[in-house]
Amino acid sequence: MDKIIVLLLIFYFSLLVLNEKILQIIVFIVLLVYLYPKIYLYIKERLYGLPNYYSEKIGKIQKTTYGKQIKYSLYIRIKDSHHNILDYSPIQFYGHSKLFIDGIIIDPNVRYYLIYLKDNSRLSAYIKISYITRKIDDSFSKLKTIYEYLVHHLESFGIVNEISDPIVYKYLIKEKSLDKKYLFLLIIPILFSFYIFFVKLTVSYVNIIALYISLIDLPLIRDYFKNNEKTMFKGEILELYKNEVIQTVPTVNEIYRRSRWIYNILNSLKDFLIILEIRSASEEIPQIIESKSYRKYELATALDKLSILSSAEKMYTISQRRLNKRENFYNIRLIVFTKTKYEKDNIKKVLFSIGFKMKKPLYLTPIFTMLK
Amino acid sequence: MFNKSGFLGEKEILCLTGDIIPLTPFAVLTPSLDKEGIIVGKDEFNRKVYLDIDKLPNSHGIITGTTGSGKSTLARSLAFKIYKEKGIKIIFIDPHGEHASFVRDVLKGKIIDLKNIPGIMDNQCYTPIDWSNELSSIFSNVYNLTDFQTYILQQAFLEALDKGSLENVPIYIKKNFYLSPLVKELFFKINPILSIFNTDIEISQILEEDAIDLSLFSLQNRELSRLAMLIVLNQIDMYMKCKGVRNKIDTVVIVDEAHRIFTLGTRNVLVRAYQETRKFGYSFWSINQLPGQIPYELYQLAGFLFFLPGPVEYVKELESIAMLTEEDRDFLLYSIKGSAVFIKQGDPRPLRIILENIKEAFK
Repeated sequence: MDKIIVLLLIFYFSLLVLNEKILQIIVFIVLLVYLYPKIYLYIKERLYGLPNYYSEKIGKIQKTTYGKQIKYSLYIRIKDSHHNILDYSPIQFYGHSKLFIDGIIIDPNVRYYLIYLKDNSRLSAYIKISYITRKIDDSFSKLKTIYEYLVHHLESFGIVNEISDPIVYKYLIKEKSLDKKYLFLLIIPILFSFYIFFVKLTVSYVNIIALYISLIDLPLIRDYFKNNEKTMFKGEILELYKNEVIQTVPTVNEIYRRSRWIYNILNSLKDFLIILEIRSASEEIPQIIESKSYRKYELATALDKLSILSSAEKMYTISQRRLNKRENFYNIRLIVFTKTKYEKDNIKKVLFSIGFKMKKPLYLTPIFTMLK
Repeated sequence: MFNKSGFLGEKEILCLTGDIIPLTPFAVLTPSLDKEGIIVGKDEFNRKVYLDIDKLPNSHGIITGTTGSGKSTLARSLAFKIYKEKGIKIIFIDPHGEHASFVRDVLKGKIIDLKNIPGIMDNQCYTPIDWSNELSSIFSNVYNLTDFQTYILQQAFLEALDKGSLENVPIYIKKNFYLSPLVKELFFKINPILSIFNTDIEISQILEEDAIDLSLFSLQNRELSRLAMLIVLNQIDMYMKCKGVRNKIDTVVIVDEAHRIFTLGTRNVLVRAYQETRKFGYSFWSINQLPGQIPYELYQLAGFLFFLPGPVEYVKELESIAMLTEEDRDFLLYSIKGSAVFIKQGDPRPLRIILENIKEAFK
């Protein structure tokens, strides 16, 4: 979203600054090109629902095809955890949990998921490991190696586990047959665009928008003939869009207290699905953060700007946390599905209290990949 | 900042290990609970809490609570559920006769007034020597007899059992007056008591019933009441052992005011049962008032424990026995009536529960 604002600002200034109209139009086109996939996905989801990725079960492994890429996933159900937060002192809890996370994420090419599914007050937890590849050869042996390692790792933390069948999120997904009566609604914008484009053949904003509409509309018409069913999500959805806690240095007691909030809230709700995807972050991230913080600091001192200085300090905190507390960087995605608004609001508030800002996503296709 | 778009436009957010600790399984999962057995209540997360006595390594239980905390109500409720759902026989040892109407009206069982203590001459499953030893030991425990007096009494019971008549007990004691003045003292202690025994009823006849209330209400004398409790418990223990080894529980004996027996020391049938008896198809559930009135080792041996709310000193004493957390302590101090801390063998964590007692149990 930040990039959109930047592009809009550039476009606005281009109107003011650039004398050549053609340059202004180029900036405008860049903006439209950038927005294209977002607009197209948004309209497509509203019309046809979510993409129906083909998924099959090979033994206990789930195979999902995304175009040319294939995702192999293995689900491990957590049957019981001998220890939970109530048994630990804050320092023990922090130590165990940190070792647990850092010990799970061993392969940078594998995606790890922590899944908490509560259905009618019954909470189940899973760990999913997924490997995305174009080749089939090594995927199974890779998943097997990781699984064997994980079993030992989980058992050493008192987590009783077993391989499980892939989860079918039936209650989340609603399928209905596609209403095909409204083809003309898709054809009207095309006709309108063609009229403007060919009748008044000039390089103007109106013509560019008309062309743009046709470029969005044509693939939508193509999709119209491909889809017979509309797959929709039921209920409320939240997606993580900002992690504020990374810029702070929470104490062990704070982490413990926040975890207790999570424990209390999640265990008092009736239905939800929380999926946390964790991947190792690039090895270059610490250097990038450090150099960015130094650049900002230099800029702040040069311009004598407190706001930039504060921002530089926040960045510096991140790199210090990594060094002082030996924490690792991860790329995460977090999504929450609930049946009711009440549950959504509760989870949103408690995640906000631990530093995770959640919002309803504009389109759901990228989220859908976390489920399959 | 540092957010990354990945595969199929997925938006990834950068974080450090500590940021996601609140979402680890340790912070989300609650300890697993039994899903079978009788429902005893709901935990703080509104999950049903079950008691499955067949799964426990030791099915003996202890219910502890101060006066008016709801011990008897809980015992009646558990008895009702286990009787109706599992078909387990229920025997109340009832010093105050307070369970009588419940057994009669709700369980449709029988009330037996123990003004005449049954089965003293019934030694089907013991040898005469063992039973006379047991009886003399019970009397010694209740009436503080000396070792010599206990020996004379044991010999008296042995002769009575041999000849098949309780009347031989005072005769034998009288015959030995010349040995010591202590024998005379024993005679005066024991003789009036012997008249309250009923030698016509055998314990096996009583235990035929599915639900029984053995009421001791008529025995107002505290010693007599203790004596009756111990003899009846001994006979039940003997009778159940006589039936042979069984892994499945078919009889539960609920001993109200069990502290009356526990305070007599550790040489009695109830303490022995918690220590040794596991496989004879019955279990004792003891209801008592203060934690210190029970030998401490029984808390480690019992299959399950219910601690009901009470005042500070009582809760402090419980803390020294069980691994209670700060929350458990607060729960016992401040929670309303109808709640309890429930501990089972095989689950190290005490469960704070709101009891689901049946309404008939409040009668």
